[in-house]
Amino acid sequence: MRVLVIEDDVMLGRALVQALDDAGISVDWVRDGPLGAEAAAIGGHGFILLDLGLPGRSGLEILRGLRAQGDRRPVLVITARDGLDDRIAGLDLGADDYLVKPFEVKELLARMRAVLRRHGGQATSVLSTNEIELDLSSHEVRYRGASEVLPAREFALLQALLERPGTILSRSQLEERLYGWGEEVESNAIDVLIHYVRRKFGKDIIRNIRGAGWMIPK
Amino acid sequence: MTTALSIRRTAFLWLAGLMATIGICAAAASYLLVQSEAADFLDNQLRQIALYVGNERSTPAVGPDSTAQHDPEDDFVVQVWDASGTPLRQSHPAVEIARQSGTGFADITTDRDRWRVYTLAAPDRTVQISQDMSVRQELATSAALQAALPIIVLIPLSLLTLGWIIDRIMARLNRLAGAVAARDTTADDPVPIGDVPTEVVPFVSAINLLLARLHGLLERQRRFISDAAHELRTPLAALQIQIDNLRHDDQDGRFSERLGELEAGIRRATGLVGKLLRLARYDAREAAPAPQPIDLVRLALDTVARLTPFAESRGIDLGITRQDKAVAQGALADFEVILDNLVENAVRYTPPGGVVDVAVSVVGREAYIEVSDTGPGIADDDMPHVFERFFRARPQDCEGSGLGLAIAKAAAERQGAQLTLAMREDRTGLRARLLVAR
Repeated sequence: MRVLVIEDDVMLGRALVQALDDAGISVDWVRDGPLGAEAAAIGGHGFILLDLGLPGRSGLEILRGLRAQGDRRPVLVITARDGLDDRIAGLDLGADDYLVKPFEVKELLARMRAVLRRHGGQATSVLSTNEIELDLSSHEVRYRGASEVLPAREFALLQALLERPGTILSRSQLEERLYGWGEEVESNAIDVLIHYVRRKFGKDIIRNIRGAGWMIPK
Repeated sequence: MTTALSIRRTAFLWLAGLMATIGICAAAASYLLVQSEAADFLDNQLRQIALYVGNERSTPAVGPDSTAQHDPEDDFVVQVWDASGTPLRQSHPAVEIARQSGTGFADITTDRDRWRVYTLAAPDRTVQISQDMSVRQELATSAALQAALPIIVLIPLSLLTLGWIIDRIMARLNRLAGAVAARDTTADDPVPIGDVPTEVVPFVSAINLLLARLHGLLERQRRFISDAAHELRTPLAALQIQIDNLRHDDQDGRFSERLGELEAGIRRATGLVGKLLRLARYDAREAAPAPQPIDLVRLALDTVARLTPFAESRGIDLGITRQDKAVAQGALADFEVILDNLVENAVRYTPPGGVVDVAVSVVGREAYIEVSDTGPGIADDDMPHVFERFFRARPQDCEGSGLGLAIAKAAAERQGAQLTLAMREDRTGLRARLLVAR
């Protein structure tokens, strides 16, 4: 797959090209709005990385132009603004996701993978953050280089926590997700499950929030 | 400070003075005019009587109308002399007015009164008719008063009307002032001049010009903030990615520690840029996002979740101690900023091994979120300055920016929430409290 990077800043552009190259992705890089629009219109790229603040023609205009022509290729927007409206504006015009500068390469690659998966129609088959990946069909979990297939309850626990990474779930919320109505739940059932998961992947995979519950960070 | 005399009072005083002057002048002028007119008329009467008066006393003295009520003062004094100067007739013998030598009018003063006298000196006899001067003056005065009376009555009436008119004009100005005062700081349409009195239009236009200039200024500042964000964050992004690239090349991990330090530097710069931009955005009075219901417990949980990795990295036990159900109205982004800064501050300034508690409490109609730590707290002397920008009450070796609390305060003000900071009752640390009206 070829990625089109539309980025006016030389320093950032070079760094991005290098990073994608290191990840084994081939890159074309254009440095201003009009050229970017042209390159995007030619097609042939499976993915577009688009900076919003471009000279000549803003990233949002390019995006609007693409979507107006029925071009549905995945676009990941890179923006320097964290204003809420900018994000919404970008997503409304059809960006698949956005990243606020600065960001880490692994974050960029994870987001790109997630967008591609959604485009490939496998949205339900994998749940992931930067560090964890859950294969929903095989129940395989990958975390910091380790990989293991988990029993149903342990997998369900991770799945519940990963559906919205960074959200705290309380004991009762987890019990609701993991056990059916009328099912007898031991008072320490959740603790036991967490203990098993941590024994396989290390303590940090699930964070304990005092007084609130558990979570997996974004 | 003394205020200038109000338009209402000024106009009232000037117009009242003017109308009083006009009234007095009009009365005086009509008095003089009527007096001279009456003098001519009465003189003519005197001459006519002199021409037609006979030598003999007309009899009977007691006639059909002789008993009619009249003021004896109003009577004419008729005197007739023959050629030799012997008085033939005297209508009022008690009044002694000397015989004048020639035909004509004269003003004569006797020991009792002043008289207007007409003497008709024929060869055979002399007729002299006199009228009391005070009668003539009374006539003139009453005529003048009658002329001036309407004006005098109209003065207070017109002053009342004037007051009413001025009140109406002022009411329009007051409405205008109300409309200007009620304007939102972010509204950029001009003040409408449809209902404004013509004389005030230049004033309103000037206000509109000023508003337009201010909006231009704010707009430029907003654009500057967005440009600055781009200009500052782009090189930081490039640096971050280059460090990741270096790490990729650093297969044996020889530079891992130094790269980590570089990354920490970038994180710090990124945090500072974000805070400066946020503060600038509050200063530019950018409109807050539309209010929405905010679940305060959810907000607290999300904030704690977001900052748990940071708390763990510093060895701080971050947790939630109370979760009263509470919903507030406001912009979620602003509330996130407030709580993020409070919790981040607490975690940053508490020594490793310390505890940071977040509590959501409801008491009566008020809901509040408290963030308590076991840090060194803030000296009483420094307390009044904690919300000042770049003020750092606590150890200088910490990586704080000195902006977190200033931002939280600005965001709280924008959301109408009350943010206070105090030592805990047992003085074991600091407690920040965000009070939210439900």
